[in-house]
This record gives sequence, structure tokens and C-alpha cells, in this order.
Amino acid sequence: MFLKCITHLYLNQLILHYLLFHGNNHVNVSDMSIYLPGDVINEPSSSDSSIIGYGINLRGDKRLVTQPGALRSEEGKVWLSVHSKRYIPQEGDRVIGIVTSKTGDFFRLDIGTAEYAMINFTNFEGATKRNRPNLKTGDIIYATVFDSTPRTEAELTCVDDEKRARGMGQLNGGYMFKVSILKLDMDCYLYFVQVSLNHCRRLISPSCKILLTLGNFFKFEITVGMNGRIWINASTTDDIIKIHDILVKSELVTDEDELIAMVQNNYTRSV
Amino acid sequence: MRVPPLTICEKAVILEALRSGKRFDFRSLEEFRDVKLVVGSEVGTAICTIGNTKVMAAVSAQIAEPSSMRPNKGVINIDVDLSPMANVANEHDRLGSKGMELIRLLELIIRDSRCIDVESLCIRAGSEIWKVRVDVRILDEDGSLLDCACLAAITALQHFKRPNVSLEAHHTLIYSEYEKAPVPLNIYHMPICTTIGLLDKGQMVVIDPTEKEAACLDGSIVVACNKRREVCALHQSTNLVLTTKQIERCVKLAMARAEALTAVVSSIIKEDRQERSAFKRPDGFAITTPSLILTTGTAASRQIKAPVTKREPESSQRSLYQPSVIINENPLSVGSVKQEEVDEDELLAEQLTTIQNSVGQVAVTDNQNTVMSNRKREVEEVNNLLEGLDDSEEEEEIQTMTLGPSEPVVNTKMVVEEEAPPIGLVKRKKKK
Repeated sequence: MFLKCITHLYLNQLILHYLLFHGNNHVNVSDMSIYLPGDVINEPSSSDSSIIGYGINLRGDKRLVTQPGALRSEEGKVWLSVHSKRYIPQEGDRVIGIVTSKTGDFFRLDIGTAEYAMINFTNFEGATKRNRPNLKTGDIIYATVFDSTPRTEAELTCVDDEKRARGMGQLNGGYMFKVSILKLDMDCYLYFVQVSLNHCRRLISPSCKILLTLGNFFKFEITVGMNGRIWINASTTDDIIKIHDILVKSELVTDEDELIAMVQNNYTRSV
Repeated sequence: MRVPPLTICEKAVILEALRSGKRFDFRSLEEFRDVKLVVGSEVGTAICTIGNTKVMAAVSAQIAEPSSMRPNKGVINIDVDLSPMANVANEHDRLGSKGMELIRLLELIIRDSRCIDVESLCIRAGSEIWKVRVDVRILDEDGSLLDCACLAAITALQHFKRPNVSLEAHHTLIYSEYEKAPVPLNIYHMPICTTIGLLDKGQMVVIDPTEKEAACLDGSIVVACNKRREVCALHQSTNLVLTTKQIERCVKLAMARAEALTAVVSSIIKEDRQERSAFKRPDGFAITTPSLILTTGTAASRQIKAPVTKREPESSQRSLYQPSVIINENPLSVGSVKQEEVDEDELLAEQLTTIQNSVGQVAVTDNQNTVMSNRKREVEEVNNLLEGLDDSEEEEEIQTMTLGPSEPVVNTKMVVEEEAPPIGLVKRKKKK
């Protein structure tokens, strides 16, 4: 009984979150179906949807849901869009990692997962056996996940198949933060919503106007990792502080006018 | 779990900003974060937030045997729990160095500063004393943890009332809150903590640092003082060598803070007492839950903000919630109300008024009188409410409304909904 209530509340929270935070996504909310772990997906998928993505497991010929989320499908692919804070590494994701130690040929990185991730020193552009990248503890790098076998440490790389960096590598200067705590400042208080991965996904989606609007006012660099970390760099500390504030608070803003007003407000504000 | 390590770039930017007097939350270096303080509907509970730091404190009391060393003194125990919910680095049921520091300091501030009169907690010297327990639960951590914990604990202690007791020849009688009004603790003063971060070997001070700022700073100093400008405790977290001038400056800042916060705490306690004495059930922590979850409504898919459903006006909300509250609270209302008791009360009241009239100007200050009239009022109130409840239940129809558009919700298997509509989502509507 109690558990059911909790599940029910959770489900409602989930719907609420989708209503709130996915306003400008391409998915129409009214077409969306939400699944909980243990559910079996019965929906007739488009022809031969053989590619099964995040949050779904095959149990025999049943498609079993392992994560709570909204069902998405596209050209024979089926996956669940899961609202979570914890990052689970997936091959091909670009992430921001913090160097924590150096062991032999590997650097050990923190990418926000339960286990540390590893990166071989040869996986940097221009690195050879003699010319090793000089990374200290506390440095941050932008890398791709290329091996994420379950129950092992994820392995990262800073080069693509052609041994080119293409924007990956160490991030110098700037400021890194995790979009993690957002306060819903309404008539209620003491209530915090923690959303991170979604916001990051939203920021880098082409339809999102946040970065474009920011670019009209500020001159800055940004790197968004899929693990919820964002790195920004601007010419002055003031700008970094202002941009940081907008990025953290823009989570709930989907209206363009409101967004522009917010950026404008922060632009003229003195720190 | 571990906390993600502090990166070089974060530290550089934060320190650069601090040195030029800027902070990431747009505060100045000598500005505090907002403090929010809420007392619960249960006596002796309080939640305090400072920025994102959030602590809950609950006070309880039980009768115990005193130690042979202090046979006529009550005992105050402080229990702290740092849960992994607050910070992933915390381990369940294990305090660690940070937790130990916190609990020792809380003991120092609350118990060893002698702000609570422990002699008044003695019932029978050598055999029975009150053992007051303060449970401090850290719900969220973002710097100034001790400030928040101390404020929550002090507020909870101020809010707490222990049951009244009377001594008989061979036994002690403990009265419930309906028989004799509970007694608040005797609190002489309120020690208030202030955390002050130190930068550049103490040359610069950063007031009320957040967790990230604290990680970049050289150390911090915690000053506990009260509004009478007495320093109750002084604690420095790192082994920096500070000059007397620097410490004096910190103490001055802390004293101003203590005065302001003491006023806040006393006003909250006063308000709560007034509400209780007027037989109003205080909202308690209910107001910490956003109306977003309490009320129901639909939101368009492109709505920017949370659907702000307006709270119903106070009066109608009270009438919705009061019946259940009073039934739980008042033992008189369980089952049918005894008519005899009402008659008795009325008789007594009549007698008292006649006595009062005969005596004339002399006011009757008998405890019995107030207790009886209180009881009478309560009984009448409950009667009215019960009648109202019976009538309305026939007309009422429980409607469950789910958040979001109705169609997708129906599509997903929501068997749960019919069986157990959660309280927060059920809205009763009167049909006329």
C-alpha cells in the first residue's frame, strides 16, 4: 500500500517534471507514455524496431523497462528518456572528467559515475611514448567514452578514429560546474529540484535558444559534457559569474522572451 | 561514495572572484545568505535552511535516573546524523571527522554554555530527572553547517514543551497535554553560531561561505554568541595563526548576526505560541511542501513555469483539514461525545460565574477554571465540526485529479490510482 502510494507520487512527479522541463523538446507531451521499472512495453513499435536503447532490456522476446521514464522511438530505435541525476556511461558520449590520479600508462578520471574512468596517455592528440600529456590532479579534460562495459571502469579517449582531437583534450582556464541544484523559488520554500543531465542535453540541442541568446550578450566559450558538467570561459570573472548564474537558472525557462529578459537583466547587473 | 574533487580551474576562479570582492551567488563578502526557519506542528521540531543547507532538529524528553555525580540535574543529549542524502561523501550511521566535529561543537554550544536550566529538569533528586534529547538531522549540505544545525537545535529547544508532572507520596504523576499545560524549558540565552571563512591567512574574511567556497578558503572560524554580547564558543577549523584584531573583527560580525537571528527565533516562537493558545493548528512543515504538489491542476506542455495553482483562501482550507486533525488530537472526540461531560462543564462554569459575581471585583485565578473552559470550548468545537462532517460527507464526492493531461495517464497502467489515491493529490470538492 505504502509502496504503491510512493510509486504513484513518483509517477506524478515524473509527469510533472516532463511537463516542466521538456516544454520545448520535439516530443509532444500528450503523445508520451511513461513507464516504470518492471513494465513491459507492449506498444506496437514501428515495423522492425530492433535497436533497443537506454532503459530497456530484452527478457526473452519481451521488452522490459529497467528505468522510469518516457518512451521515445525514432526510425526503428526505441529508448526511454530517463530523468536522472546520476550519469551512466554510454559509448560515444562526450563527457568532462577531472583527473584524480595517474597510474602507470593511465590517468584516472572522475566523470561522475560510481567507478572512476580511465584514459590511456596515448589517447591524446600528438601523444607518443616519449611525449606524454602533462596533466595534474585537478585538471579537467573533455573526452569521449569508447568502452563502457558494465561492471568495469569506463575507458575514455581524446581522439577520434583519425587520431584527431576535434575539440577534445584538456580544458585550460575557465570555470567548471555541475548543474545540480536548482531552487524553485515560488510561493513555497525550502524546496529544491535537482536536475542536471536533462539540462545539459537541452543546452546542446540545436533547437535550444539559451546559448544563442547568451551569445548575443556575452563573449564566452562553453563545453557541455553529457555527464552534467559544464565548463565555461570568458574574458572576465564577472562574465563567468553571470553566465554561470544564467545557465543554472535557465532550467525552467522555455519562453524566449523571458530568457532574453533574464540574460539582459544579468548582463546589466553588477556582481 | 565520494565527492567530485575540486578542480584547479574552479579554485582559481573562485579565489580570484573572492579577492576582488565578488561571489558566485552575487553576495558581497560580508553578506549572509537568507535564513528560513519553520517550526513544526509537533512541539519541539524545527527546520532551518541557510541557502541550500538544510537541517531538521527534534527535541524529545523522557524520565531517567540521574548519575550519582549530579543527582539533581537533568541531562541534555545531542544526536547528530549526517546522512548520505545530504552529501554523497557521508556514510550511513557513521559520523566521520566532520560529524564528530559537528557533534562536539553542538554539545559545547548547547550543553556546555549552560543555556538551558538543567536543575529545573529534576523531578526527584537522585531518582528521577528529565532526559532531553536533541536529534539533529542534516538534510542538505552547502556550507555553514554548524550555523544551521545550531539554529535548528536552539529553535527546537525553545519550541519544546515537556509534560507537566506532580509529585505524590510514593509516585510521580505525568499529565497529558489535555490535563495540565506542558512546561517549556527554561532557556537563559540563545547561542547563535556564525561561520566566517578566512582567506589569505586571515587577512580577508568571507562570511557564510558555501561548500565550494569553503573548499577554496584557508580555513574558517566559528563564533557562537548570544544577544547579550557574550561569546559562548570559539572554534577554528584549521591551524592558522590569527591576530587578536582579526578575531575581534570576527566576533563583532558574529554578535550583530546573533542579535538579528535571536529576534527571528523569538518572533517565530511567539507567533507559534499565540496560534496554539488561540486553538489554531499551526501549519508546521506543511508549508515547506510546495503548493505545486499539494494542489492539483493541469499544465500545458509548453508552460514555462510550474503551474502555479493558487492556494485556496485560508478559511476554506482550514475547514477541509481541521476535522481530521482534531479527531486525531483530542481524545474526547474519539467515539461519541459524552453529553454528561458537557453538562458537567456547563454546570461548573455556571457555578464559577456565580462565585465570581458574588466575590465581585476579585478575579478568580484558578487553574481548574481555565482548564475546564478550555475543555468546554474544545468539546463544542468538535461537536460542531463532527456535525459539519456528517452533513458534508453525503454531499461530498472524492475526486482524484492527476497531474498532467488525462489521456497519457490513462494509457499507462495506473491501477494504483483507483486503489489508493495519495492524500496530497486528492481534492475534495463540495457539490452544491
